[in-house]
Amino acid sequence: MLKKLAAATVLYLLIASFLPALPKHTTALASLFSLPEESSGVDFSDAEAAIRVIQEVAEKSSSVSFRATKTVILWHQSGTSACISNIAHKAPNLTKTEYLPSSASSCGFRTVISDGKSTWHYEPSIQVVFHMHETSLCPDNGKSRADREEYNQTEDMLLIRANYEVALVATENLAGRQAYVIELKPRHPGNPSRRIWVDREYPFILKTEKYGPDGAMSSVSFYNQIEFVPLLSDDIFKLDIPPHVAKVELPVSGNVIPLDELEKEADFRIPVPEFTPPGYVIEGGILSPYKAFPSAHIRLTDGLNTISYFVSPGIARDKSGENKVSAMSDISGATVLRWSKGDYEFTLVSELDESLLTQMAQSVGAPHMQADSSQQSLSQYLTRFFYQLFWIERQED
Amino acid sequence: MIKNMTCEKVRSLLSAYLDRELDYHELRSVELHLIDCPSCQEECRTLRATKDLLGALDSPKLPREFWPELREKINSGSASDSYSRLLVRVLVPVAALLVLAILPLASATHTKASKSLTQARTNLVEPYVREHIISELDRPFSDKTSLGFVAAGQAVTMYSSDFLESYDHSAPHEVVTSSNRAGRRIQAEPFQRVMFLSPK
Repeated sequence: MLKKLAAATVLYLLIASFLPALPKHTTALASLFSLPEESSGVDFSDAEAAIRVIQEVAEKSSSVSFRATKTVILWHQSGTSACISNIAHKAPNLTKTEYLPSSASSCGFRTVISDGKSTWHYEPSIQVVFHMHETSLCPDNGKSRADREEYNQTEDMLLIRANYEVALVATENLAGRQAYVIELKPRHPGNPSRRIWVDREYPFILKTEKYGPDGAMSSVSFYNQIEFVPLLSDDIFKLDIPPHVAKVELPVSGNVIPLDELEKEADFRIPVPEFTPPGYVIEGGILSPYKAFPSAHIRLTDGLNTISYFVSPGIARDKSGENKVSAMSDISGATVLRWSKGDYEFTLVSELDESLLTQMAQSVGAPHMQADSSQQSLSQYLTRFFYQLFWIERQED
Repeated sequence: MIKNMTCEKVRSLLSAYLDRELDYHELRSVELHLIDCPSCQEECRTLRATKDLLGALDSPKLPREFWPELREKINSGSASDSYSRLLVRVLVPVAALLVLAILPLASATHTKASKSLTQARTNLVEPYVREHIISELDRPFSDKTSLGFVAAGQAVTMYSSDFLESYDHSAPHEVVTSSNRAGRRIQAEPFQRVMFLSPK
């Protein structure tokens, strides 16, 4: 009897010691990505657990192959945009997105294919294929998008820790998957917040809700159904287009460089705003690829959101609007501010609160042309004139 | 500097514009005018069509004796050449002095002109919004489907507004973006860069 009792006790102890470890072995990947355990074991007050989850997502989400259907809804001042798409991703770089027709969208059958080096966007409604090289193909750029993303992840995670309260708030079922619900609340007012659903098995975001600075939801995107690690042939990342379709090459942005280098590359002075919203740092800038709009694009980030600040010389507007925000509009969910000062025009694009952007706009000092292009062209004209004069004389002699 | 141009001025430059002979500032002035002026756009399309038609014609062959005869005429000179030489030797230096004398005045006028720069001819924000969206793609938690959806819409808007021009309607009709384990990489030939903001 005693033997039986001892054996039962040993068996009970063994089971009791194994039970907490069992969920860890439910999937090899869950343990590989060291995501938090089952809901019963999740400590919702542990901010580090949430940080660990999003860190894994930042580092490894592109390494997960999947095939899925996804819904995107965007709310903005001019209305609502919605789209359903079929997505196939073969890690690490092949992605195909087919936008399906719906009553709320005019983008039906739009197809976008990316191989990490180029993106092709076929727009059947206007019979056009847009093509754009990734920045990595620019000759002056040593970093691929993947490299850049990796670099940004480290920097951005540090900024996110500093600027956001990251919390694991719940676990939910979504698209037949179990997910952690993580909230990213800004520590500084005036910034958008975000709520993300991260798959418990794979480091992958299943749903994103974005809220504007006023707390209203600005966008939601979620997977209706998803299959991880499917067998995907390379052939599905092939785009066949009819012969009469027009081709359009989209301009390519350069590499992000520090501001002092950017100013050297540009032939104009780049005034930096004295005020930047709390938590934001200047990443650097690039020269605009649009030759009709020569401008410097300076990027600021708080880790999660971006402010784009454009400085465009020589296309200033009417002086009556000088030093004042001359336009404020809501384009695709982003607020756009434009104003002029001197001969410069400035543009700010961001999802931040308008008052912060206005404050930033008002803190931009008067630009001083490094080399006035009007005088430059006159001096060039005179140089040419005298050169031709002497050339004619020499010919005559 | 970029100037407001009248329709008359723009039309006088259209031929040079289509032949890519304008300097940078003239080019931009013409392009910005064309954005807002449907009649000049139409004029530009007509002129382009005419040029295309003329360009399609065969160039007549010059007779063999053309170049030797031309060279002979140049070398032989004429009475008018003497006047030309006189003009060059006397009037050109005088003109140069005049230019130097009026330089400060011209510069001041020029600066004044540049200060009354372009009105807000365009509320074009699509390129800026698009650049902003592309920069957002680098963020670790960016929703690439949403951003791609918006960026694609911006590209369509820009194209539909004549801001982007297609480059080749007879290009290969198959685009393949794949590579296999053996490293085979097949891609469509890269499209040439197209002029941004030039009329179709």
